[in-house]
Amino acid sequence: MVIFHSETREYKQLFDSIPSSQLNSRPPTSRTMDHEKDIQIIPPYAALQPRKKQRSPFASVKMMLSSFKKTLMLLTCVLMFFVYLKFPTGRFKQLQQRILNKDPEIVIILAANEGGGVLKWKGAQEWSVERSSINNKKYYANKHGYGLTIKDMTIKRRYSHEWRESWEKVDILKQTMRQFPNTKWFWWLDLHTYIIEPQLSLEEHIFNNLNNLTYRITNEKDFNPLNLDLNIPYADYKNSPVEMLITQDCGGFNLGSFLIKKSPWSELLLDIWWDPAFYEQMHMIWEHKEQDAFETLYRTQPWIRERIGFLPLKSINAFPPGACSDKADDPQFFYNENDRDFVVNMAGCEWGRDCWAEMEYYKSVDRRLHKKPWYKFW
Amino acid sequence: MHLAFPQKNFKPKAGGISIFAKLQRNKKFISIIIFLFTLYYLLFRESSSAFFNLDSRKLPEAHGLYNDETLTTRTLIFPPVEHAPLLKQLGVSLLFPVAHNGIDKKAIYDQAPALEETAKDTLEDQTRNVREAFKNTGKLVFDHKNRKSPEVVIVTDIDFEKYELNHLTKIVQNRVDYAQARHYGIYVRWTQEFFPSVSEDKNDNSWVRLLILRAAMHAFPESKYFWYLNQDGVIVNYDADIIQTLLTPEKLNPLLLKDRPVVPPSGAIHTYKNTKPENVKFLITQDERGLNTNSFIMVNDLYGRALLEFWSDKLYRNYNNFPLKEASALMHILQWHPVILSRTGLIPARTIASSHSVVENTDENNDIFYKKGDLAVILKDCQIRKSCETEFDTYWSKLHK
Repeated sequence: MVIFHSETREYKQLFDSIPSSQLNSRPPTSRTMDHEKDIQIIPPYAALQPRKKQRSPFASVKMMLSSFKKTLMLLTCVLMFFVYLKFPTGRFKQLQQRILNKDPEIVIILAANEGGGVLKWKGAQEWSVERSSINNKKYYANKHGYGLTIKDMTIKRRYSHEWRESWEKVDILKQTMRQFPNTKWFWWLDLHTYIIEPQLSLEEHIFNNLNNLTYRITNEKDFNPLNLDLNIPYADYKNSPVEMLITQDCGGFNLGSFLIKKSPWSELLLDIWWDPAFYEQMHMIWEHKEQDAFETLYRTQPWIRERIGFLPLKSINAFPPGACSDKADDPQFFYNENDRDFVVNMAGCEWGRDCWAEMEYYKSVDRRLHKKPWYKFW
Repeated sequence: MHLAFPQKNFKPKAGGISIFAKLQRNKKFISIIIFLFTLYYLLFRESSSAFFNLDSRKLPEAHGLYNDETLTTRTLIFPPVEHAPLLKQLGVSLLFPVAHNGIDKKAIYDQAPALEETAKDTLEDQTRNVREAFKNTGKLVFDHKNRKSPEVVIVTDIDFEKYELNHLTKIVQNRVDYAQARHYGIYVRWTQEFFPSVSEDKNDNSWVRLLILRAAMHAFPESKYFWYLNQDGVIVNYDADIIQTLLTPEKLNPLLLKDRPVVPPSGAIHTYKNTKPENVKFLITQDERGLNTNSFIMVNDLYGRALLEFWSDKLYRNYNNFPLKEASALMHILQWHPVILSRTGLIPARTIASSHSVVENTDENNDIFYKKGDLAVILKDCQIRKSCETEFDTYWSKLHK
């Protein structure tokens, strides 16, 4: 009787179906065939024969390598050096963060898919714009070792009963701060933005430069399109750190691109930003939702005002000519190739302008400005 | 025979060659060390992201409601109460420049331009002094660099249109006596001083308590605790040190009412189950209507300031759906803003706000009404009973036997 190690059910069924009289015949299993193969007959004189010198094909290569050892080592070093130059330092940082299980110091929050899927289908051009924008931020984040998180801005049903459509910015910020509990700064970027000078890190471009870049609205000379009160009681700018960096365009605050630090202060700010009693009174007036609410808070609350620094629009949020069209002759708002502005924000391109064309244009500007001569490897 | 004996000639020469030879021998070892070190450097070097310090020299100094301020070393800041009758006689409209809004003919007082311009020489000296003094209390700021700031500051607003001089004196004296016994500070201002800030509001003077508390935090920047006590409250135990009995984490922890509805008796939002006493920046009690804003303690830090400034925002002061004014606003804030709620501690009423009982209280287990040894009594609704002065006097006479 042969014992079957039938692996499959089919085999078992087959076995059951065979009449018992036939079972004595030897089943054709591959297992037994293998056994036969393994048994090899070695002639006793084989060991006595002189061994043939075994020359593997690698041996000749090995010999050649050993004769040019020093040259090869030098060449490897040069090659490694170029790889090192080519390899973005950000990758090292990211590797380091992964090994040590650390959060990145700076995280970029990219708002994607605004209103997508609810109001209308996305067309091919919208997909393309979104792809370009995401790739641009990915490249930048990898280059400098920042984190990147892409947040879905689809209008969510859960807001409609408590009247706050398109207030997701605040919720996303809160959620992202929970996601990266040890990150220091968060950089919010709207979808229609493009980092044209990705070689600039935020540290060298913004943070190490803040004394020259930032301004507060405390002086008549400061840019103040909203005509905010310059002097309100209890605002203590002197003893407060700057924990949020925003820009102003021709019409007031612009939250298309801003930086916010994770801190008890920002936690409080995000907690009170949306308030139902404020909203009920103001939602007809607050046309730009959270941006206008934020302006109101800045106006009335010294504890918020004293920790906000302003950056020139062009430093992180330059406009294309189509935006702020009533101030078209004022160069402080608009992207200029010669100034090598850092980021362009195609603010409002979805309202009557062509986002795709603008995005493609700035991509081509980026390519043109960063064209490399052929002999430059890095 | 002697070959095994070490000869002088065989000894390695002293000097550089031997070190070199050693290096040669340990080549592998050294190269591994260098490799590891380079790897370590590449992977674990600290990124140079020393975040910034801003140059703050050009920025303006913080100031209170007035731009010009006077330093003082007094820990007891209160207005000259003896001016009350004259102030009442003058009326608020003579204290501030006034405009009227067109809609409901409500007076709008103007803070900024000083009073002296109006009719300086036509007034008598005394009146002018009174008006000067009225304005000057608000400019006082405690000189924390030259004198140690008190740990606790008791804050009260007094209303010269509501009470007579005699009663106002007792209110201030009560706070002064307690503060002197415990080395605390007090900060008392006229309610009317804040009329310019609230005169555009639909709601009334009960919001002034928030503005005066904010002014107090500005006047005592280094003091930690601010206890707001309404003018209808009496401190009845001068021996109770609220830091020792209430504010240290060990004392506070058993007192905190955790997992209680913010709006009694059945509000949906409860206080947190695991509040840490060190994190509590705001202490308040409840009464049968909700939160009792006649007596509460706030810490002068980011959380205290943020809550206070947010709470007294114009959009709340003008909101129609807050029947209990600032108390409704507070209940609203605590139910909608979890970060603020997480810093709030509900404590039993008798810790800082025992209620005055009209009938003799005999129930031993009550947790609302005054019992001997309590810190302070709130004469709630005494105006409806028209007995604020007499009720105050019963407690006052017990203290000054």
